[in-house]
Amino acid sequence: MINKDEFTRLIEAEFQVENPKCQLTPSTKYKETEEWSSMLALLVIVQITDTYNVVLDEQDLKNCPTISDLHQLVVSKQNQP
Amino acid sequence: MPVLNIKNISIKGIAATVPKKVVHNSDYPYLTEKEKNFITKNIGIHSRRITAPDTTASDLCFHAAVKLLKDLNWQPSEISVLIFVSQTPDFITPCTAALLQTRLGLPKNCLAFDINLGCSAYPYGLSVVGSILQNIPGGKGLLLVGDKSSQLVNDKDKSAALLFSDAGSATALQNDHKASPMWFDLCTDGEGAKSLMVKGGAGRHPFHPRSLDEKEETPGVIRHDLNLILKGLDIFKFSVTKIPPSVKMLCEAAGIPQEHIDYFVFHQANKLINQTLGKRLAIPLEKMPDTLNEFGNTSSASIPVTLAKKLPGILGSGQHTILLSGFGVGLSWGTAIIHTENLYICPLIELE
Repeated sequence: MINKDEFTRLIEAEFQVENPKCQLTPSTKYKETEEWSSMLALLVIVQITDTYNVVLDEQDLKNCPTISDLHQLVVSKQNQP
Repeated sequence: MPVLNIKNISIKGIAATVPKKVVHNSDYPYLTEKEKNFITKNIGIHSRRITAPDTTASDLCFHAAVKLLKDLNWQPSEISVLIFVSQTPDFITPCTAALLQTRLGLPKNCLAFDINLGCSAYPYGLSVVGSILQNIPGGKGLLLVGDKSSQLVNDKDKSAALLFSDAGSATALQNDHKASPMWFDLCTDGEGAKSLMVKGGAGRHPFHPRSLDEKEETPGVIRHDLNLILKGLDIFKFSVTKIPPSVKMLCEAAGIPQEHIDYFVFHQANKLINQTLGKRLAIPLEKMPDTLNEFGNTSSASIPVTLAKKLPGILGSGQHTILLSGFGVGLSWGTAIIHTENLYICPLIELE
């Protein structure tokens, strides 16, 4: 089981490449942040692929408004056979 | 399709042409310095090559073919197969291969036709030329693969403008009973067609007076109906989920352990995709030649461009086993394993 806080820190680290002061919580609507861009979306997807071996796409991001939603989706995909 | 095994076909030579004009992504006018740095660092592309407006993909391929025939000391009259693979033909009709047949002085009994494919073009093209030549003892064929992506991409579309270069290539193949078999895994998933597409200008959405009207689809993504649509996140998922299994399966089918492959030459998509492929397949970096920094994504020609830039000396002597994998528009992907022996690769040609 992926820890939600660790997951949040992992995504936050990607945002901090863009803005070192950026802070995220599980309830952050990450697509509404100043930092969010299509490039950052790709970096987040790459990081999730590398770390959890789950590959998300554009529709997955659309379906997940918050970091917590994203976390839940990654957990559910990881548990799929 | 099931794994394709082509026997008695040898690749004798490869040449690739890029335009001399260099465009630096740092000069891109529609993003801030910070945005440009962020993007170029992560996609790994710093400069690109763009043709003159009146130069076509077939012109780039033509120059590669002329040089290759000369260097191999092949006569145009010996060529019995010519295949041109591109998404940017000279005309809607006739096929560009016919124009190249006469321009190169190839005989009239030369089979010539076009294939419309992009980033998967090279493995597909090798399989088609190889399959035909299998039935022509001693026969010689040319595979010309190239694209002028600059004519499709809107400069004001930040999702695509910093990625593509123009390039063309020529590959010489020959029926040769001493050749080791070539192996192919060729696949398609049309469900993803809309992830990489030019919507207008052909049968489904013919050209009309408003085809060139630009629209801002999302902030910083401005294009018209004849421009390329590129959904980067979908292409990432497609590439990193389809290519590793294709590589593993083909190695197994060919009975060649992955560690016996000397080089893995992937389509040069972007740094994030190619790095992820390398990690997922545990390929040592020195076995993955990379030309993204200097040439970006040269679409259908990216594999021959990378061979011509990075491996001419190495493949020029001795025997090597190389894996080639192209993936993109269609969505379509193809992986090939080929054995080379003293393969002639012409150093990269630059066209004014």
